[in-house]
Amino acid sequence: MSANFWNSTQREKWQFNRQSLLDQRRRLLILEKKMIQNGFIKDYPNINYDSNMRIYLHNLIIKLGRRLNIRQVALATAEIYVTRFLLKVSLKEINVYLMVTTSIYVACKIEETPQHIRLVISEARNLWPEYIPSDISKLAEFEFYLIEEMDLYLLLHHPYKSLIQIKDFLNENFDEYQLQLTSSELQHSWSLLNDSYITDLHLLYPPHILALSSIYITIVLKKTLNSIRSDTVESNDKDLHIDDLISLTNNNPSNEINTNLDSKSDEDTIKINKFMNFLSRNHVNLDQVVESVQDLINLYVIWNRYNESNVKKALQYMLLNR
Amino acid sequence: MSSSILTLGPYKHRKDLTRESVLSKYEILGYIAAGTYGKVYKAQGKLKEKRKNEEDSIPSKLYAIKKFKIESNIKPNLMDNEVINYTGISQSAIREMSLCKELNHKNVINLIDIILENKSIYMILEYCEHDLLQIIHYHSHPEVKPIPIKNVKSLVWQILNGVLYLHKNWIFHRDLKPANIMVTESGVVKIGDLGLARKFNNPLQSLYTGDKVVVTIWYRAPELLMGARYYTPAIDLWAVGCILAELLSLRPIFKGEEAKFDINNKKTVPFQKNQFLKIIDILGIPNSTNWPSLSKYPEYYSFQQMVAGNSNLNTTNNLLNWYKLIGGNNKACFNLLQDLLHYDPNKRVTADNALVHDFFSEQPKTLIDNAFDGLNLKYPKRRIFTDDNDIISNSGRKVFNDSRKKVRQI
Repeated sequence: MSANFWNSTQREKWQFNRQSLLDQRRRLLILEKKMIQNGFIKDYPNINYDSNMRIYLHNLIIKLGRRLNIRQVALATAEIYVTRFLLKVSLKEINVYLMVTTSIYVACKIEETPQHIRLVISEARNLWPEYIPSDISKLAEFEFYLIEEMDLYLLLHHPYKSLIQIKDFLNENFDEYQLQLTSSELQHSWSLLNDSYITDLHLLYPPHILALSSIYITIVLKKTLNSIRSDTVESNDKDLHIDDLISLTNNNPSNEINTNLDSKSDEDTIKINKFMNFLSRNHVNLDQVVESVQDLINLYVIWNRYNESNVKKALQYMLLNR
Repeated sequence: MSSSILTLGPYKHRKDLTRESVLSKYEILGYIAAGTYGKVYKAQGKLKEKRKNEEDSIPSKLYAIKKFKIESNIKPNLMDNEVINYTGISQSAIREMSLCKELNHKNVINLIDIILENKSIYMILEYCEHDLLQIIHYHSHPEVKPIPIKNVKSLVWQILNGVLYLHKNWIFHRDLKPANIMVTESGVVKIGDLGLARKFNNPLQSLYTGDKVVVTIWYRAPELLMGARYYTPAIDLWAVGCILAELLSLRPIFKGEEAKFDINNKKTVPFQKNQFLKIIDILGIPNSTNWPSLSKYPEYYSFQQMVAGNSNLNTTNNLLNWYKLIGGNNKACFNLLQDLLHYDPNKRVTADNALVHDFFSEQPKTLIDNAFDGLNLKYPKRRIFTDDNDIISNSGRKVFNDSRKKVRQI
């Protein structure tokens, strides 16, 4: 069913839990090992599907997306395709640049904003001339393999829609919850969602949990998070905040948050209480929200240590020596 | 530098070694139909060797395998050898595949599997022995009686039930017509061919941008003829109205001639004057009373010109006369037909409301799962052609340009 997430193949076929995700990745590592032993592929110890690599892939998608002027939802779809694909395929047996290009090409079709295959190829070639063939048939060939690997489950539900729905719901029920999202809060939550595609969260939780987590961070943790995300802050300072944040989100949020927010202004505290009230009145799975919030914050911690050139060089070494 | 970096590299090799072939799973019995999209084959599941020896008598399951035509873009000057390259999957194929994967309803064709092999896409679907075009055709023989109202009722109810499921999933079909309504041997309706279907919630672009022309001309709703850019699922209900009329009278109710695109100006969609006139013949000229937004459509000017240029146009709704003329005498059935064939898409009945229409609640009771109940006749089986069983080869021309292309049209 494509109308809602609950009956979708996204939930029924492509939703994992932490353990099953771990198992799947372990299976892939074993496959990779066998391929190396049998001489199908060479080993490249510096190529790993870790957070650095995922940030790198995310940036590739954004770069090509910008060049082609692609809508955010289509990019989000491409991000999920890449994540799904790399659950079953080793980085060491493919060309990630072609994979990213293909994912965007397919995602645009699925989101009903198709881009011509020649345009996609030529823009990708402008960005990564040494890795993208001029021949469209290579991209078209990869399309077959990409969708086959996903078992042709291509339609997705993204938290952007949930975010808008929550905003509208709060507007419609202002009398009950006395809570509204400002446009800057909405924007902030939206951009958190953009970044969330680097994580596994979309394979783990329903879209509304992610939307709520992004609002949670926006309302409850905004100030602290901004200091993490900002580059101007001293690095020592950052680490300090990070530890605070992680301990903050470790346990039941409602209790913890309320006691930790003495320093914030009353207005913020009131808003946070209203939001927590909204979460509990609507029987949201708070454990899932907390886990998501934590993963997102961890992401920014890692992002601070991200080194693009290392990943780039490792890929270059692998692809040009294959 | 190795050439493999610009290709799929070692991965392709690994996948190609383990892929299951269409022919290893299915035996091709012949083909059923061919069209612009490709070709549909009839096939049966291959029994495992063991079982074959044990129970030779059990017939294996039947399937329809839709093979999408490859959009070959080989440039003529390079055509020394007939190597067909991948050119990207068409928007329509990718929609049909992705939507069918999500759908699961007894009145919508069931997708069994999709196999990607040898640069081709094969959709394995449940096999339906009949379709409405064939059933209508059968009844239109002079010696055969019309379709009893009880069976019409069941057919239309099941169609509406499938349409409601699609609409509830924010999908409109956009090509409902008798040839696309399949019926199984046991009388269960299956809406098929979702090649033009798409989701209609939050379209990122105007629906018009993607597909300038939707729905086969005879079943095309008036708002589409008026050039609507943002149309609604009501277009499917108009088509259901046309199908209901056709089940009753055994011929298309609005059998217009399609105005072709101007060869010199392919970007401009022609105004379908002849089709509109056929509708006016029966429903009268639409006006701002029965269709308030009429003057807001892009083709309003063409519409006015058409009306001005034809002085003796029918101004009143003659649907009741038409209904009496074809021998209709069921009041509720007429009411449903009228509700489906409303000019104004906002007033046209929705699938939801059509299903609770009096026509379905009055006697005789609607049979919701067997449209053939009480029929003492046997519809002929689908014709299959066995001159081309080669489902794998892509040496296209011969296969797709054959003269039997239109064999299933009346």
